[in-house]
Amino acid sequence: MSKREDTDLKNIIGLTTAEEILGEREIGRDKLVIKGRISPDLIDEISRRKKEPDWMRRMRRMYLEIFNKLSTPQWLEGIEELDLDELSYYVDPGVERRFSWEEIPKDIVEAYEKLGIKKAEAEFLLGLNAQLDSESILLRMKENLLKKGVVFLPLEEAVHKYPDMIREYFMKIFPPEHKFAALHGALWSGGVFVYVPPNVKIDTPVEAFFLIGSALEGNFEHTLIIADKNSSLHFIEGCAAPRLSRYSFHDGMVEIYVGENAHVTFTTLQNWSSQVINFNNKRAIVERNGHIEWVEGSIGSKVTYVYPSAVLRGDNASMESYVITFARDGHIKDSGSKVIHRGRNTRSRIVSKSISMRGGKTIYRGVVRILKGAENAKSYTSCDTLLLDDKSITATYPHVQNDEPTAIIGHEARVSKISDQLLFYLRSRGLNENEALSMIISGYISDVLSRLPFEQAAIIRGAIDLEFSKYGRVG
Amino acid sequence: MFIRSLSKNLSLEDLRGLERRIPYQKIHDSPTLKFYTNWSIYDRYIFSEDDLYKDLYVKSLGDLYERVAADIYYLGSKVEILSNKNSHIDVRYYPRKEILEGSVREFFNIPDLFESKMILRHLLDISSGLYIDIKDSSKDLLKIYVGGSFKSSHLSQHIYIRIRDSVKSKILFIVDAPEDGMRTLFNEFNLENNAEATIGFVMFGGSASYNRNYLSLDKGSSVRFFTIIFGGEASTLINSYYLNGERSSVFSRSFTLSREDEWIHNAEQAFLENIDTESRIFMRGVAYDDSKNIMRGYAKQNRDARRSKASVDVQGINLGGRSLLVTAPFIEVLSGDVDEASHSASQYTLDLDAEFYLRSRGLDKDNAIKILLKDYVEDYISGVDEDLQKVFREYLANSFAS
Repeated sequence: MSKREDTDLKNIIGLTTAEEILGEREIGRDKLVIKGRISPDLIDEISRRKKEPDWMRRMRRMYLEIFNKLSTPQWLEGIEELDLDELSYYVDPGVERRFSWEEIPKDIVEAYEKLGIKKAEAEFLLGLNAQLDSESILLRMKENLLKKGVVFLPLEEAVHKYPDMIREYFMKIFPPEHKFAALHGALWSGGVFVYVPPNVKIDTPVEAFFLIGSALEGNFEHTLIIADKNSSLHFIEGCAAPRLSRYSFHDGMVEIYVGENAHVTFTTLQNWSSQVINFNNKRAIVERNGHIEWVEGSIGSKVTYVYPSAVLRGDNASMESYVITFARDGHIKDSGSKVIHRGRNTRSRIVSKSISMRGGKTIYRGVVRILKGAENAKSYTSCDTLLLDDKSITATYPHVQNDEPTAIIGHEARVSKISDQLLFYLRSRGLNENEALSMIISGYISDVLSRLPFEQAAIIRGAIDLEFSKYGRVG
Repeated sequence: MFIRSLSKNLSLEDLRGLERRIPYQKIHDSPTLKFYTNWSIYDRYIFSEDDLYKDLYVKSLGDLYERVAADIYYLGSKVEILSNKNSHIDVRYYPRKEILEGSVREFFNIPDLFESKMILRHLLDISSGLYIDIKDSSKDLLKIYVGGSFKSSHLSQHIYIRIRDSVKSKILFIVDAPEDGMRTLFNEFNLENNAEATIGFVMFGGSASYNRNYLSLDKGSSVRFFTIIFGGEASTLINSYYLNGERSSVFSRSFTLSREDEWIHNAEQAFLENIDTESRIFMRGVAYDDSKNIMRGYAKQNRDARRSKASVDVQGINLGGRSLLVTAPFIEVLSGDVDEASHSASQYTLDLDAEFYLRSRGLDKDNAIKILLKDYVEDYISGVDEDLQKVFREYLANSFAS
């Protein structure tokens, strides 16, 4: 890859250096903040500010009750500093939502320009929802999207315009089954709603980009996607934050309904700064002949817990999940995929590639569950880890739970390190150590990259090149 | 004092109070599997001072194995030694009172006494214990029958086995099925430097059993551990291998068979603590009918386990109408300088074409399945120690015949 291409990728996606690009300066000013102990009054205040209908306020209160009843999972690590009482649960960035970049304050636009989002929106996205803190500040849609009848809105607006659909799907695909999912349901703010009508195929991606502007923020954006029969959609989720003086907490949720014969690809490029504690709850329900594809590039954050999952409800439904994870500098990346096979002839394929470096810790935690009646279900999981030095650690916890005698399930995993011989060989051919490492790692994840669309593969490859060119010697 | 030294200065009474608050199993390895077995079954059984032994349920091995070094019957809270021809094995018996007074300090060298309610229950209800000291090498077999437990009671038995420096030994455990009772059997093995052990462990589940084997391996020592578990209403066997010494190694191969409404939980876990250690875990299982068969393999390569090798391979066949099969091969790597860390799991069905062929030749479905399973079982047995193969084949043949 040439230097020019490297620079383009960096400008387009801002993948590896978002934290440094944005620096230490907080983004936005004159913010309105709701903070304090989480209580029904606080929930009501958020609901009131959003001018929500009463059913949504009551729903929030119900999730708060569930949150209070559930205990904090004891197995979580790396979240010791998380103090829910000191966070701001709602941060109004002080900017009304606009439809053009020109109407947004220059200092905020500058951040999106630095990250390459403005250019990306102009060049290859059909739609963009840019969110700062708890609110959407920009919504851009190209004519093609409007013509096809696709709904692409901030979720708050969809609550008013499409209440029936929201009531049917919101927190139904991912119910509040653990404490932080319930917290999300009580405090959600921002995010997008996408509805793709029957037989509409969107080949060019739409994107939602989330920016946390300051420290001690709680960020609870919610993405709800409904792909109706025979439709297709490629959705990109990106996120970033400047270097923060203290931690911030992201507890997002993605719910996707994939109708019969529909196809959804959901790509996440997670590039939070290294102070962000990142929880993300992601689940899809897939109907007959439907297909969900999760693609995740997990680059940033201090701690991440994310497990893209799917319930394969209809016959012949399928899921593919490709996750590439980097953990460095003592950061913890706990990720994996979960799939429940319910329909007959359902298929799942999970591929996870992790890289631990400079004291990073990667964990693969996955579940394959085959329910009785999911005849001829097939599932294959492969999770590999590359350890780049002796300070880095890894663990894998896969579970396969099978009720169906006709199912065929496979799982394999390997932990490896970079061979000195290989490194020596590449260096003897004129590559410096960083180039050699970059080449080896590209090879390591090549079987995932080869299955990705060209643009996504290029983005991830660019991230690796930039990582090693920037950080110098590894190990 | 013994109890206090074990338990951070808590008394027996303190531990009784604490036991109620400790979970059956800490979910430290993964929150995604919320159960391992039906713990409520274990709640049915309580401590009793009675001798909980009636008679042996297991089939006598007869002439299957002629070269016997010693034949130990550990039945209820009594022990009987039928032969000890080579006299290189010392067996000492300790009643409950002496154990709790600390007469044998080697007992309960367990890393975490509070890991599970069942460990505390075993300690608090202990009926007796054996101390077996293997002083010289022998190719002959040390046979240990363990039996007892009925009358809705909990029988807690404990065996400590010391295998001295450079001694080679071969041990076969036949663990009887408790009948309307619960047995906890804890075996602690201490393999001293360069010791070698081959251990066969045949376990019948019965009403409720919770068995644990702790193996501590010193420098250069090695163990080959072969297990068969036959069903039971609630049967748990957890084997823990602590590879403390450099160049120590474990090769473990287990087979579990659950039928009807049985529930088996088998865990094989290796902790690699030192340089050049090696752990190989193979688990195979078959679930029939409405049974549940949970297989967990686990290897942890700690920070000092440089150049270590670990593999976990868990494989099962689910044959049942409503049976559940769980395969969970876990691995944790805390050292960046390991030579190998890998795991795999697979679950599949029998070859449907082959089954169709056999049925078209006049076999009924059950017999067709038995023939197809024979290959699967033979594959397991072929990896077992040659001397133990005959014993294992006999037990498995009896089981499939029924």
